[in-house]
Amino acid sequence: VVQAKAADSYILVVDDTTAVTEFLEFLLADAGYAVVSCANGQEALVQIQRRRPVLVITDVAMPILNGWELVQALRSTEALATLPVILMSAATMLPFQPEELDSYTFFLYKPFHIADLLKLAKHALG
Amino acid sequence: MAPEQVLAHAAAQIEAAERDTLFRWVQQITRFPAHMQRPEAGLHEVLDHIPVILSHLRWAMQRSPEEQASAPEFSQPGESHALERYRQGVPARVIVKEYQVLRRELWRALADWQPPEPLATAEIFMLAERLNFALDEFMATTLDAFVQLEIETSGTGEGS
Repeated sequence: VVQAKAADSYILVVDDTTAVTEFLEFLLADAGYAVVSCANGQEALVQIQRRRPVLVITDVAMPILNGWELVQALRSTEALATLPVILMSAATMLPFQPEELDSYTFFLYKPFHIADLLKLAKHALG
Repeated sequence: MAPEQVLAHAAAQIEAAERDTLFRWVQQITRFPAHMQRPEAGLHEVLDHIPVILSHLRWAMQRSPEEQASAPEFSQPGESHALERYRQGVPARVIVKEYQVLRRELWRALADWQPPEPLATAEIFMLAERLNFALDEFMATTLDAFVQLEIETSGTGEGS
């Protein structure tokens, strides 16, 4: 868990691969964001209910509760229906069509560039 | 441009793009089964000696093979990388694939490069030869050390 400048607003990173999570924490913290990380969708839901993030960046393929199931859980909750989410995946077979995502859900194919992530995060945060 | 200028500019581009290169490399190699079996492995463990290898690579690509041969210490991080990957239980073929991904990402970084003046075809071939030779040297050093570890371990009856 990395805490950067804004203690009351943070980005939630969700990925079961620790090395990727740590790299994302480092990059986002370096860009000035506070970051909290979780290893799967279920942990993420607990963290979100504890304290709402300003953005969720989540892998799709994860154990227990995957990234797409996390998005569906958020969208079925009125208070979280507009919480911005960036999904990321290297898979060619996805449980959703990237072009059919709602206006609060975004998608990045892995591997992606740091600049693309930061640009999309900025856009998602409005 | 003079050959040494081309190589120096290319090395500078590789250095400037290093963070992005490593980020993309980590995203890809952590999907190899040998790494997926260890999702708890931290960034430091996964990167291992690759950042040092990149630093030495930038030095090596600006030297001729003869100059590289006269400074064998430059390949030492490749040996250290072999030792760590061996301890992590990563097979030799995966180490080769990791180097292949690194090579692809280095060339991707160079593809985005805008040199002070357009490179001639001969300059691009020269750059390719130098960069690929230097990277192959690291791969060879790593695999030599890895095989040596396997021989030593099989001799003592230890497993990885």
